[in-house]
Amino acid sequence: MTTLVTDNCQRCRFTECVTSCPVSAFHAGEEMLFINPDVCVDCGACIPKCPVHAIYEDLDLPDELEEWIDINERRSKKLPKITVKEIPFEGAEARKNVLGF
Amino acid sequence: MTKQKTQKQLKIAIIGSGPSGFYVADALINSGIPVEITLLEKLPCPYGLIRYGVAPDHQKLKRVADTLNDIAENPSVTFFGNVELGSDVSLEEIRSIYQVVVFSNGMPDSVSIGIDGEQLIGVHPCNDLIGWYNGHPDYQSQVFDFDHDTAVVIGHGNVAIDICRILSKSIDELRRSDIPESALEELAKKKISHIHMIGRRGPVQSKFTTKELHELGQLSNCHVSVDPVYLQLAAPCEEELNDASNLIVQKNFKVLQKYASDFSVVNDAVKTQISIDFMLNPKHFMGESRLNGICFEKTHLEGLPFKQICKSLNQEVEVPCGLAFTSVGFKGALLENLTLNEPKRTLAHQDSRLIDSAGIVHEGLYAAGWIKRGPQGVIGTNRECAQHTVDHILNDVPTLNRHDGEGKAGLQKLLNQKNIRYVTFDDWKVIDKKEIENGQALGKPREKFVSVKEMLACL
Repeated sequence: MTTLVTDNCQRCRFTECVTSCPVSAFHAGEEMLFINPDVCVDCGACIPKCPVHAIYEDLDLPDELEEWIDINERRSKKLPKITVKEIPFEGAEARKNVLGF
Repeated sequence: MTKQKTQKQLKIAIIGSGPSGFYVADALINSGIPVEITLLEKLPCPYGLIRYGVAPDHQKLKRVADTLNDIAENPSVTFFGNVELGSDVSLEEIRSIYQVVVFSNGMPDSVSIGIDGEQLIGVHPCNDLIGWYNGHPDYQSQVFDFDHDTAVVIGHGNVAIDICRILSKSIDELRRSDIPESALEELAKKKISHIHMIGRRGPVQSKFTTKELHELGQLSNCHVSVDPVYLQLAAPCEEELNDASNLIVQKNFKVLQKYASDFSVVNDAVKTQISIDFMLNPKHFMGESRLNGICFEKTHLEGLPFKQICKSLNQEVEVPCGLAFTSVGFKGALLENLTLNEPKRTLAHQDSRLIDSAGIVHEGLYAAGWIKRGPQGVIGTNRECAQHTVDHILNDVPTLNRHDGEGKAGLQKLLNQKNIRYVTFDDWKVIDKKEIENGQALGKPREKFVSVKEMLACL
């Protein structure tokens, strides 16, 4: 069982998710956020917070997004923690519309 | 920075050391203003529902305690366990010592289902079972008779799922959890082969989280089934389901469809059958002194999407059972001199600031967590909720009455005068270590002390 961030976060980076993480498992990359699977407790609080549905539990992860399991594991461990919400990317709202949310 | 150095420390007491209390402490630490925080806890042990509410077989989720431990280790935070507001210290005393008091004492009581027969032997509020199998000292006198074929869990949320899972897992599986030995001994006698989890509304309105719902189907000795008829949705439910805001419900629906596809599969006799039933409203419990069944009324939903009301049809359905657990909500405990919103008994507040019945703000009193917003959300929801509370406290700081209350030194003095044996965080670490050691000997994560006396005895 693991919870992970996928590519919909890129070009949006709403960062709503970090405010509800009980264990501060999010790490901030320049383009998007990642979850450290060793810290995450799979409580699922972040999943409905994401305006562009970028966060999945592996049990309902579409096959084409499977590579993101490894990417989260690898990238999260090299990046700083993020615990406070930041300003989304310019154009995040437009991107959200394009993605159909 | 210069300004902060000259600023007087804000002295805050937080009532209740569950996740909400800790997240209030954390948000205060991160606020940048100088703070001295006291966590007041009625039990000798911290962590509230992480220890006593999260299911004993969900050890990964219980790891949230590690984060809470780190918050407690911050030098600005002092833990006072085994001290109860009301009986040991009064709110007036606390207010004279601290400038800010935050209530994060949660909702310890089950909501009564309010139908006839609730007093029958075999009918239990979910809290009694959960507190008991989690080793909560207040629930150890509860008696459960698991020598029945059929159990009914009323309610469609994660609490109901937890109960179904614990009732259906084999005793060998349960022995790997941190259910205390005393409860395992009783659970080893269970003969339950069929569990009905029944809700009064439909699949689209149920409050499960997908992971928990999915996990039920993964249990090695269970067969989960849903009558496909419940998944044929009327137009308003269909609209609710397809709404973009309803992501979790969409995922849940897929899991329920899977369970419905197995509906006709003949069940293996060794497996526990879990049936998820919808659209049934409990009318009364049946039996003379012991429960022997529950009478439900079929329901239907009326109204526009997201505003549908559940109405009873005049068609009764009887479900024979010897054991019933009602999981229809929680409510807060009564707090003297504070205004509560009935029936859930949340504290009356405006932007987290406690108010009296006339709407006047009680200066310096705040709420966070379930006692503020009601029993909803997952653990992480409380972090967000606590941050909002702290944002409002910070807004008020310039105008707060900064009396010279002594904070933790004053509380220590008061407790010593009253001869109250309070438990420090270092004391708790001794209890914690002992529980883990005792657990190791039994091949489990920990063996909890199930009475306050036992906890205090190892100090």
